[in-house]
Amino acid sequence: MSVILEVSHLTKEYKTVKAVDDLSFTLNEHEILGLLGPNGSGKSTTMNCILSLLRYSSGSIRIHGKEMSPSAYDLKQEIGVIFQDVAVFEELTVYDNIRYFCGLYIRDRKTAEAYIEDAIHLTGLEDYRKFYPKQLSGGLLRRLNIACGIAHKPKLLFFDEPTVAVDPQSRNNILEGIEKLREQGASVIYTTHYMEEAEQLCDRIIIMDKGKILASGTPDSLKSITSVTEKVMAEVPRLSEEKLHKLEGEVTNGSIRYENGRLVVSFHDGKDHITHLIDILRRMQISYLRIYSERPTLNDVFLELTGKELRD
Amino acid sequence: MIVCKAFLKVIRKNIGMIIIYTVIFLVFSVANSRTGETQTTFVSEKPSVCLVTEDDSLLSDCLCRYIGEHMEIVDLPEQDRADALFYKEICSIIRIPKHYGRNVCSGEQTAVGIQTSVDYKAEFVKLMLERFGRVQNIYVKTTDSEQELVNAIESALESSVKVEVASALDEKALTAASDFYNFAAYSMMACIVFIICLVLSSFNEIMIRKRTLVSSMPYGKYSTLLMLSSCLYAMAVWAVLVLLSFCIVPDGMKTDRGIWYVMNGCLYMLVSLTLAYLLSTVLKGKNAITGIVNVITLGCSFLCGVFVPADYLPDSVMAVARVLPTYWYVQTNELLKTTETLDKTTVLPILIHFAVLSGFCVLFYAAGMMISRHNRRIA
Amino acid sequence: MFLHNYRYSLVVLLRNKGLVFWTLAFPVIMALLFHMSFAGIDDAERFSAIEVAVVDDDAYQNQVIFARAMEELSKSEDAVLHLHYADSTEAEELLNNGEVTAVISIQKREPVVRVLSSGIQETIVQSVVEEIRCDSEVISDLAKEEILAEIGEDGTDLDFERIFTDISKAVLSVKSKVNNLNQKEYSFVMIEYESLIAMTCLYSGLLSMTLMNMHQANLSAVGKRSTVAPARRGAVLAGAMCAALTVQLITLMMLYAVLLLIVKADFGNDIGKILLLSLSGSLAGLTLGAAVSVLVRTGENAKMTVLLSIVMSGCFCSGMMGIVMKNIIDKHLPFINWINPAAMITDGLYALYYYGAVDRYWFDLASILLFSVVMTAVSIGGLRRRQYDSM
Repeated sequence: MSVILEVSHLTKEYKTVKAVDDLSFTLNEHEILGLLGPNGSGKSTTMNCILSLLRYSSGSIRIHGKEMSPSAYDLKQEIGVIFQDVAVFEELTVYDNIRYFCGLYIRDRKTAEAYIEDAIHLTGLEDYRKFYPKQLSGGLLRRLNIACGIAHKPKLLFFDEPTVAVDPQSRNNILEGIEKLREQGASVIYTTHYMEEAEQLCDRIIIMDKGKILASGTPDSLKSITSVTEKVMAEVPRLSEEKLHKLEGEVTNGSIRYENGRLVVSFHDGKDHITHLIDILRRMQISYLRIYSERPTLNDVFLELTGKELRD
Repeated sequence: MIVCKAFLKVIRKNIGMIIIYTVIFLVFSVANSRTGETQTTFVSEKPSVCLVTEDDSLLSDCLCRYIGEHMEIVDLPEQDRADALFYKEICSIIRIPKHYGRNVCSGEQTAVGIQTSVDYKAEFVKLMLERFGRVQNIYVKTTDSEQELVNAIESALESSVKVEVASALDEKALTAASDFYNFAAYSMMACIVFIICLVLSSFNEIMIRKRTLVSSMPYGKYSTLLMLSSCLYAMAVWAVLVLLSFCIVPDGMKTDRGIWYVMNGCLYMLVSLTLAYLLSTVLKGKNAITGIVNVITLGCSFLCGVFVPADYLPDSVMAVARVLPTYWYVQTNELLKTTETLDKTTVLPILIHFAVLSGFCVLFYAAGMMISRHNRRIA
Repeated sequence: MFLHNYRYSLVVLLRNKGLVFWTLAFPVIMALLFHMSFAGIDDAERFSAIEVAVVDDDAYQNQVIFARAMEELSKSEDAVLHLHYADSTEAEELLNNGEVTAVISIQKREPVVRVLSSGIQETIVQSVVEEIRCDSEVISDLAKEEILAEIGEDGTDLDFERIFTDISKAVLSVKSKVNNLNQKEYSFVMIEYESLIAMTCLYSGLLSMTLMNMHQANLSAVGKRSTVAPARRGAVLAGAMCAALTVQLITLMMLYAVLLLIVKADFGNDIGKILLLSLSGSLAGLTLGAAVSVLVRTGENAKMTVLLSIVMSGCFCSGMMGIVMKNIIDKHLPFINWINPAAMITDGLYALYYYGAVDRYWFDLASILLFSVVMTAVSIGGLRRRQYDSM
């Protein structure tokens, strides 16, 4: 697979604060690369630097081996961007918005019209061509935002947290749409702070915090960083200190956390510990409402790397 | 208290706009303020003219002296004269042609030339020149030399008439005070209506209103607090204007009319306040507020005699202006300027105007309450 | 690309209600307000016969020559005074009610004028009464000479009535004219309308600023999208500016239609030069809006406030809120109006009507174009390959 985007030692400083600190990564063809991190970790800043919207302090950014700059129009031709904020004209209809932004990339009218139809079809906006943005729901507005960014069939796509404040159904539609785009030959950089999205969608994930890369790799390889092999959660309304202490003695191959009526046991070896834990709870006469187990998540990875939750 | 504090904080965000209107007002008031001592004796007005003489005779010198006695001669270069005439720096350009004295004495046709505007001052200048010309034409037949003619003219034109000033009013001071308070109508209305509408629109924003409605504070109490805060702000604007009036037009304010100007201003402030309340219940969004409030304040000011003296407005416009509160406010100021003495009879029209302004207050407030109640049901 | 941006920018502008109000409706509303307020000013200031009360008592009747001269004066076609004969009490009432400007009476055989205050009308009354008094004295002097002359010739049967009548007629019939050198009457109020045209031209800055804001990445998401697109900035912005100019031309046409057809303002016959100046003024406004959008690196509201402050201050200095202000600024602070595009437009229109297309008009036109060039250079310099430190 060839490298489509190469970021080398990118640094962006605001006075004394480094928003992006010596960042280096690549994006391969037909790959979906996730930038995962909490708010303020430097994801959007990184993206804006790559798009030459922000001036950066040092480093280099190359697309198809060529240096990216504000006047690199040939490179810009290949790029599509879906911003976190909806970027459409209030005064234009759905169709006119897509037509306008597509027209900035595609000069031939017939080609542009064909592309616009494809974009409308892909985002499910057939029934809303003549609607104005004010008349659309939040989900539809997001779809319009996407349609404006992909209409010209770019090969390199940037999605900046496109599912913020979107209902679950629309979110699924968006993620499915991105998959389709990859199938059609696009390469995608996807920034988010939702680990589930990153796990579901991305081939590779870069975990960022405070402008630095903490870890990168496939979801499975990232999860292997953490020492936790399985987590068993139980809803325990009442648990005394004494019983908790006793329980800690019983579980030798894991760590226990109890807060707000929730007991979390993180095992550091093997799996399928749920049956064993149920036995222990029964024996100790600890009543619980619900018990389930899950594999470690990226949140656990982040917690291990930084000492805080991804959602903090 | 928390509502008042929030109100004042939102006002502070719009301090720029308040400063702009106040500065505009100050510049105008200072530029237009007239100062001078009280005049109990008659002083002839001396219009400004530009005198261009191409003759060097005794007669033209006599004419120049005569012009200098009755008019203010302004020396201007050729290229500035036309503009000075247009902008009424001077009311006339007088040209004494070559050989004027010689031609008059020999009976040839000659006349002084004049370029004027078409107002009273220009007419006065024309009259004075015609008067000189008439006396000159009368005596040129009965005198033998130019010197004799000049002596006869000067002797005849020495005649003066006694003029008595019947009024004890300090006309200049009262005119200055009236002009000040008339222009204050625009500034006061703009400052109060625009700012209060902007602030109340923030409080009336749909999500904020919903939060307020579900809170434990009774809506009536909340409304009252907002109204009181608006009132506080309006009174502050009025107080600043009153203070400025005592600084800029102190002579007029120190008369027995001073307190009436202040009361009139206070009533107008209340009218502006209630109008602001009404508009805030109707208008949504900063753009709509900016547009509509500008049209209302400028419309009231143009049509009611704020920017253009009421005497100059056509009757048809004045008939329409009666439905606007600014008309009654300005008319009160005009009455205060011209009424000789303030007694039970002469004060009655002023009190009627006050009643009309109060009526506007009640009308605006009642309309605002009705619309506000209706909006609450929908929300 | 240019046409693509032109077309969509035009649609965006025309569908923006706020912009449509400020650039199209507001100047027309102002023109109508001006028309309603200023319609009577010229006539109100124009001279008309002054109302005067005359106390018609015995003392007045005894001053035969004076009374006759007063009557002759008030009867003529271009009479300066309009007389009301009344007794002393009625005359005072007329004066106090403001129905007359002055009361003329005879006290101790001398004319006395009573007024409420000093002013130009009162001064005119004074000078007219002085002239009549002077005529009376001249008639009296000449009559005495004539009587003495006739007594010398033939000392009996003198017809005093005939002598007085002949001499009165002779003196009162002497006229004097001044040569009227007026070239053109130009209403003082026209400066207000010219200033309004200047304001409308400069308000086009709101149009260009709105479009420029839409293409700046740090101001909106749409700006970001536009910036990352491969379209040449020059073509995109040129299309936007031309769309703004189109809307501005529509605005100007509407305003001129109102001014010419309803207000019946007279700007002269040189339509071509008027349009040229208006077009140049609009260009100045557009480039000013673009420059403010580029230079003021804050939010949209702050930019709009800056632009409106510049435009309204400029209009103030060009006489929109007080006609004499332009003259005051030109005299005492001329450098302000040298760089004030509103003053350039107002002065250009004034010079065109008052003086014709002379140097002053061309100088104003050149100044406006220079202003536009400078603003354009500033905008281009600011936008060229722009990247931001933060968003």
